[in-house]
Amino acid sequence: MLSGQGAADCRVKRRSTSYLEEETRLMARIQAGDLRAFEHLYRSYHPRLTRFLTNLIHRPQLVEEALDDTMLVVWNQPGRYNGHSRLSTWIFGIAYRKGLKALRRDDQPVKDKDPDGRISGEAGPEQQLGDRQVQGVLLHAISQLSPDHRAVVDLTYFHDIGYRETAEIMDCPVDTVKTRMYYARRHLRRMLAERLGGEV
Amino acid sequence: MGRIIPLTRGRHDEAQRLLPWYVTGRLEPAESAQVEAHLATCAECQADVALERRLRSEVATLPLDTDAGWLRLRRRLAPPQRSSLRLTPGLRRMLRRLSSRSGLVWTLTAQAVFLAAFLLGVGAVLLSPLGRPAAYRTLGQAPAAASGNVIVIFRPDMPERELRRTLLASNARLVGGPTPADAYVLSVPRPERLAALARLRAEPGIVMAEPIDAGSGP
Repeated sequence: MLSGQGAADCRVKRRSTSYLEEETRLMARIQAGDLRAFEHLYRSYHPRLTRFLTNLIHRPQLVEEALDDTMLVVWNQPGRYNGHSRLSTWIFGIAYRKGLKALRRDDQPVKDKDPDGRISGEAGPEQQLGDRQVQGVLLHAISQLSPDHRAVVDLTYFHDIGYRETAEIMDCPVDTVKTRMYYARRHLRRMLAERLGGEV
Repeated sequence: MGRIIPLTRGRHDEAQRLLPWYVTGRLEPAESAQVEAHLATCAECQADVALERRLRSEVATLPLDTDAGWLRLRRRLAPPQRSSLRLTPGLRRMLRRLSSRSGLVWTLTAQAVFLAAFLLGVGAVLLSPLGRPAAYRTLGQAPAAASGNVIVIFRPDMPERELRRTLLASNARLVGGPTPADAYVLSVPRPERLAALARLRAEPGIVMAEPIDAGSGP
C-alpha cells in the first residue's frame, strides 16, 4: 500500500514535463491565431471543464455558458497566460471564476453561511435514494456540498490536482483548501457510512 | 472561520488533512514521507486511506458530448485576427527554456507562426466551420486554394525532382501557393489525408505538413 510512491512521483514529474512542453507549444500556436490548435485545446479541456463546472454549478445551461466563456477568454486573450503556472491552473482558474459568476447571476448561494457545515438546505433524506448505486449516493452527497467544497473535492479526486495548485485556481490560502477538503470528506463519509461502511 | 482546525493538532490531524493528496500522489516527497510515517502507526488513518481510494474511484466520469460543445462554441468564434504574431514574453521565456532540451521547439514555433501568417491571408475561408459557407471571405481568395486540405512548407533547398516525387508518393496535387510565408496548399483525397500527412511529415524535404480545415480532423 505504501510502496511505489517514489516511482509514482517520478512518473508524475515526467508526465508533467511532457504536458508542460505540449501545452506551451499549443499556447504559442493559439497566440498566433491557429484555430486548429485552439480546437485541440478545447477538445482536450472540454471533458475536464464540463465535469468541473457541472460539479460546481449543477445547471446544464449555465455549465455550457460558463465553459464557452472560459474558452473564449483563452481564445480572445491568450496573452493573459503568463507562463508562471501550468496552463491547466490558468484555465481552471478562469473556469472557477466564470462558474461562480454564473451562479451569482442565477441568484444561487455561492458560499455557505456556515462554512464548516457546507450542507445546503435542499438535502433530501438518504432513504429517498432507494436502491441507487453507491456512485449515485456519492454524487448526491457531493451535490449537498457548497460550490467551494465541491470544487475542492472535484479538483482533488477527479482532476488529481494538488492542494497548492487548487489554492491557486481558487485564489485562496492552501490551508483553506485543506480545511474545505477535510470537512467535505467528513460529510461524504457520514453520508456514505451505511453504503460503504461494510465494504472498505 | 471560528471552527477552522488549527494546524497544531499533531501529526494525526495533519496526516488526515493530507490524505486525499497522498492517495492521488500529489504531495511533495517530504509530505508523503510524513504521511507514510504516521500511517505505519495509525490504524485509523490506514482505514481512511482505503476509504479515500474508494471515494476517489467512485467519483466517476460523466458521459460528455465534446463534439456538440465544440460546434456550439465554434459559432461564437471570430476569425483569427491577431494584430501581431509576436508571442508574449512569458511564453517566449518558456519556449526558450524548453528549447534547451529540444532543438525542435523553435522550429515548431516558427512553423506555427508561418502557418498563422498563411491563415491570416487565405485561411479564413479554408477554416470555415465544418463545410458550411464561411460568413467572412478574404478579397484575395484564390479559387484553387479552396480545394486544398493540407498546407506544407518545403525546405528551400529541396530539389524540384524530389518535390515532384514527394507529391506523387502522397497522391497530392499542388493547388495553391506560395504564400508570403512560403507555404503551399496541397489537395489530397480526403480518405487518405491522414496517411498522406504522415508520409509528408516523414519526408526530409518537408518542414511542415498540417491539415487546414476545421472539420472533423485529419
